[in-house]
Amino acid sequence: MNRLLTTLFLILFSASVTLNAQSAQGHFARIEGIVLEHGTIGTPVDYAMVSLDPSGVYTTTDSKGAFSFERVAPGKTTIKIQFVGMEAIDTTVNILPGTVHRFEFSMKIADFRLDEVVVIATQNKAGQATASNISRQAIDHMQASTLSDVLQLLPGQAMTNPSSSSANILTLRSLNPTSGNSSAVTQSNSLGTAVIIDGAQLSNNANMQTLSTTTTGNATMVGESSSYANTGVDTRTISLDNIESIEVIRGIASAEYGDMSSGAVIIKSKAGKEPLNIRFRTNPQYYGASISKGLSLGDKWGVLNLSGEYSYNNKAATESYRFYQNFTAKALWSSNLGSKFRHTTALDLIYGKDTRNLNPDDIRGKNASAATDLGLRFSSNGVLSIYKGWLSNIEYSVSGSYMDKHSWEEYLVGNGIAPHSINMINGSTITNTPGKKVYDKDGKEITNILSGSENAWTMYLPYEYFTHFDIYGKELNVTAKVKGTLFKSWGNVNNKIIGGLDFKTDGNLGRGFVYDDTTPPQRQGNYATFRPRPFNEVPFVNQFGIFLEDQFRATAGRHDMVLTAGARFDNVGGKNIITPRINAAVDIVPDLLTLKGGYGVAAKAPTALYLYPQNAYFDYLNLNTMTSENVDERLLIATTYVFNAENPDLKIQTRRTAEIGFDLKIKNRYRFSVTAYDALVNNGYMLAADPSTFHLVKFDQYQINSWTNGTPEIELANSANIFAYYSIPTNNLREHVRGIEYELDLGRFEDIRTSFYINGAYIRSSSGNSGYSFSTKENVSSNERHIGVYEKGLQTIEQELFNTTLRITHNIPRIGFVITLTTQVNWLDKAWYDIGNDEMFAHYISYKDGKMYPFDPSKKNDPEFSYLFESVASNRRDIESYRKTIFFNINVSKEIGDFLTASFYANNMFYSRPLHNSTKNPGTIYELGNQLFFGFDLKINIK
Amino acid sequence: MKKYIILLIAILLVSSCEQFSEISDVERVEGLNISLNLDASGISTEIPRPESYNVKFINYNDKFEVSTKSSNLTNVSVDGIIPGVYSVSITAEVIHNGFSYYYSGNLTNVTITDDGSFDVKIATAKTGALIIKEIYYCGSKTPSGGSYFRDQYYEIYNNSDGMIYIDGLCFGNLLPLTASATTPTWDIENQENYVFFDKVWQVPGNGTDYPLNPGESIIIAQMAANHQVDALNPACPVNLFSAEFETFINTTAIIADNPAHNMKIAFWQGYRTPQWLVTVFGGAYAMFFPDENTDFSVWTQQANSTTVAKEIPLDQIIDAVELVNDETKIQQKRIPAVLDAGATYVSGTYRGESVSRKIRETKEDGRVIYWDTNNTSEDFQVNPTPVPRRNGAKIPSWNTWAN
Repeated sequence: MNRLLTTLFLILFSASVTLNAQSAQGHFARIEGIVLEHGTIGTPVDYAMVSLDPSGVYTTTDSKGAFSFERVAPGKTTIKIQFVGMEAIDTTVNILPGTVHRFEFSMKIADFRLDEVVVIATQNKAGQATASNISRQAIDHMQASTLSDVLQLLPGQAMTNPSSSSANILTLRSLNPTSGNSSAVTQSNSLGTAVIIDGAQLSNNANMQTLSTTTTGNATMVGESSSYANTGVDTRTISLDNIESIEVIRGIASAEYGDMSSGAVIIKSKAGKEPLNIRFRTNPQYYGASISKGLSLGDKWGVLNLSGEYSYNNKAATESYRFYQNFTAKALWSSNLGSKFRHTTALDLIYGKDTRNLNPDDIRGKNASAATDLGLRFSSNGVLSIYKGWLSNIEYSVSGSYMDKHSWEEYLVGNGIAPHSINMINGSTITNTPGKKVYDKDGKEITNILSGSENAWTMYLPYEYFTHFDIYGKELNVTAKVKGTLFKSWGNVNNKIIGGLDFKTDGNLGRGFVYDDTTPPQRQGNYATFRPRPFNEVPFVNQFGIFLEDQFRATAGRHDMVLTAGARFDNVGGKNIITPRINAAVDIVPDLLTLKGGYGVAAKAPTALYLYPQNAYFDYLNLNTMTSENVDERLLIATTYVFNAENPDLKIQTRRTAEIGFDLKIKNRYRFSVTAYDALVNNGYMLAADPSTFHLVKFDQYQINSWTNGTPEIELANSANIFAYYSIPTNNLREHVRGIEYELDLGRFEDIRTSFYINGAYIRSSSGNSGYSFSTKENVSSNERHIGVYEKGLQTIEQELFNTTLRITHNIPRIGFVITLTTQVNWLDKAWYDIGNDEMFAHYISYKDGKMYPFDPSKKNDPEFSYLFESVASNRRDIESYRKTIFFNINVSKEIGDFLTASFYANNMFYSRPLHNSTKNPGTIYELGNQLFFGFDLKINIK
Repeated sequence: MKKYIILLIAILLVSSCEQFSEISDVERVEGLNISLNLDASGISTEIPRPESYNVKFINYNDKFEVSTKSSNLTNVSVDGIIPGVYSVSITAEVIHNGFSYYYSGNLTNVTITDDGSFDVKIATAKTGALIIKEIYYCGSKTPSGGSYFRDQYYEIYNNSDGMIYIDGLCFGNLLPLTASATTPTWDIENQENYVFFDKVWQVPGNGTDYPLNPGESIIIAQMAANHQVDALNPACPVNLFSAEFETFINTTAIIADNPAHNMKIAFWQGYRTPQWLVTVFGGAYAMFFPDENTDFSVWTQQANSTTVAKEIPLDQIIDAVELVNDETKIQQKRIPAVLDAGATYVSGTYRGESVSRKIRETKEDGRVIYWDTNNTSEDFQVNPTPVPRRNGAKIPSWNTWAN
């Protein structure tokens, strides 16, 4: 598309002069150029970024708009020029040995008065990672307010309404199942999706804003919808209005990208002189305003871009007490030091807050909460051009961020009755009075006050109490990366080699999980109980990586071949992994058909939450007379069990992707591209129970026969072997996604001023827990029971989706008017469960010795085991096959004068909500489609 | 101008008179005539027949009701029905050899728009000596306005003239858990012949441990404690310390095992909860004595669901009570009419209200006999506060902790 643009609109003057051997150094060539603003009389475009492909060298224009490259290898070379607010230039020229090439480029301001506006995602060239590029103009036209809105331009993405009422996490090539282990799949995929802003990768690795994962079996969010602790970053705090372009790598990324498994979203901020932009945006749940300006600080000091944004989101029109606010500010300085060094250095201020105020009608719950993120992020990246020998340049990037997070929640606990203790010592039996010893009628001590629990007490929580708890996190993330680019060419062969090192450290210095000792949060299942946890005792997670990649490009006649092969080595807290990545492309029929393919593995490091989960605590009651009417006869005896929930065998999550596809280009205009992929995660992170987390403990229950002078006569009433169990971080998550993405770009038909673009995907997904699953059903007649263990990978969620999205863009350049009609057809949408033998156990864990044994199927009706069998629904394997649906969205943008742009959109504009009669549960009717939704956006440009 | 106005008024007057005359022409609505064909052929001939049936048409939406007595046992014709949706009940009672036989037939949710006839099957139930006398299910409010549901209890009363051993008596709640517009399909033939228990609790004992004399009652508490202590709910209306039984669930986090005897869990499929909580919106309850065919290790599954239930034949049920959310849900009742032709409800959840049977007669010795016509709508009253052993029900002698 860009190339097409260039040929149509770029006014390009080229002159080649053959120089003598001395200045052009024989084999090499020299490129000189000047970049001017289109439609002006020689107004230079300064600080424009100019890069050459394949050599990967880049530079910026000076105050006269001039640039130059020395020692350019001969052959096909792509010159790319980018500047804030301008249409990018992307043109391929043939460089001859020993010549000086001189070019004059003219850049156009990217507004809706261009003949051709790019409001779709454009694809990377074959041979590179499969990626979509989204321009500033596309973001403007679709009036995206968050990054997840932008991703709807990707093939196969379902159209959704924008919402910032909950954490916006990004997933790539995932169907995000909404049932079964849905949250684990989404969590794992989003955790593996890297978000990189100006070379600095954002990190959620030290986020622990959650209740204990061992107690709840999940990273339960606290404070409405603050970012989950075990997902990717919450992208609501990324302001879209200071973004120049977004590249979304969903295929096999370059080896330089580490700590990611699903793909990467690479954001480039606006860096360059720019008029003052003020923007207002609103929809029924949202209003926001932003301001941005790019200042020139003169030749020596470069440019400074300043921006700020505030937005307010209501959760629902009927719930004014639940909202999200967000304020961000960014200063970005880019300058050149001499002609060899260029850097971009940014400072971001980030503030986001989810609030749930007390609803005055909520008498029973009295629920209120908030989650605040306040942080600073510094990042700097730069490039030093060298051109010595093979070495073209050296790039660096460093970043540091500090996020102060505070989540709290309060509510009235109902049916809270449960034991609670401050005891931290495993196996220690204590009472409601610190240090008190209690004996049975034979004089044998029942209590067991171990060292460290002398001052501990246990209590019985009342039925109702008010709880307030806080989680204080102070996340510190530091990254550093150095990358060198080497380039060598001989004959028709180019070799670009990149190699480098990166280092990351993530830690949390917060006070952690804090609550009043006597009013903990409401107990969760299994009677595991809460304990406070300081985060500053959790070690930092350090990552060290080395990467090397060769991009090999050969030309044979008119055929080009590109092969990018690389690998990285990563070390995370003693765990090592090597991940290879290859992308290749051959143009079988030059200028018509290119075949492409790739294979790669990407790895996401475990986060602090997965490496260092909180211990599991259990308080088991041996005796309880706390409801006795006589205060002196209230006695509570409880035994505490503590288990380390770390999983020393936790491996690094990887995703293996294989791709094959072709690009077909007809008449240098129509483009049809198909990519088939197979992406497999079979060691994804997941919080789950494991046979090793079922611990057999002895549970003694005592009874009081009588009280004499305040002393009870106590007798053992019952003794049982019971299981304490909890969740640990595992690699049990499996997500296997296969798909075919397709894209048909018909370009613009001048006669009707309309362009047509179709994309879509067929996606087949299979995901689930590949580990054991358990039946923990109780034995009605006894506290002692076995644990039923089903075969591994008992159940997967199977999904199949096929959709097509047609975007028709009509524009009238003369009046700056653009209208896009988006039509999405969902041809196929199916979901079902693939379930193994869920009516028989493979093993059982015996309460007699705590060990796992094979299960003898003939014992199914044996009373010793029969209680373990769970009932299964007869339709559990039935397919839910949704009816075909079609939805329409409309986006309209109009420039008013040269200072105002107004945009409007309506999603599901015909309010189509077809009813679907469930094929799995006949009689149940679902309403499909999204709510009718609309929004308005006004941009003011003050020159 | 004035002329025109007068003319206009004149025209209007004439035309409106016309309308009046049209109205006067309308035929008087006589009401619809519905005839019911009563079929009591399924009832054993050994059971004495009533002289007539009481027939009642109730339109809950329009609060319209028509009652009459049938003149014969096979057919009844009722006039004056306005079109609408009706519940029809046909009842009769015969006293014979010390037992009461309740005849009943039922139509629910029938739409009547025209004259017509319906077939109604009449069934009969022998009223047992034991009745569910009072149910406190809706829970109470805490002093701060929160919700408390640990104080649910059920009172069972000996309404007869003779002593009964309650050892082995089963009591439980039925499915669907709340009144529902859709009736579940069960994997069993003739599902209309059963009720489906969600959970069944059983009175322990070896057969002669727990005698219940006429006029005595037992209380089955979810938790047989004094609920008014600070740790529970000081605003609770009841102290259930004297309850005979509690539905105790032994966990590692028990509150206390109170002096009350623990009921046995006879049927509880699915995962255990810390307490036996039956919906505060109004469950359906029934009790029975298991017979030689009652096997709690087999059960019935709901189609397309993991829900399972213990099915018990209707004729084995001693008493059943249907409670629903509110008036609008009466037509969504779960229990077949032969066991309970009606339903009742309290004013809302956590209101501290109970339902109890109305007094039918008080004997000379003060013993109270309660209504049990197998129609909760008729037999029950709503009380502003639950009172264990209301109307002087006696505590059985084996309850040594009550005093």
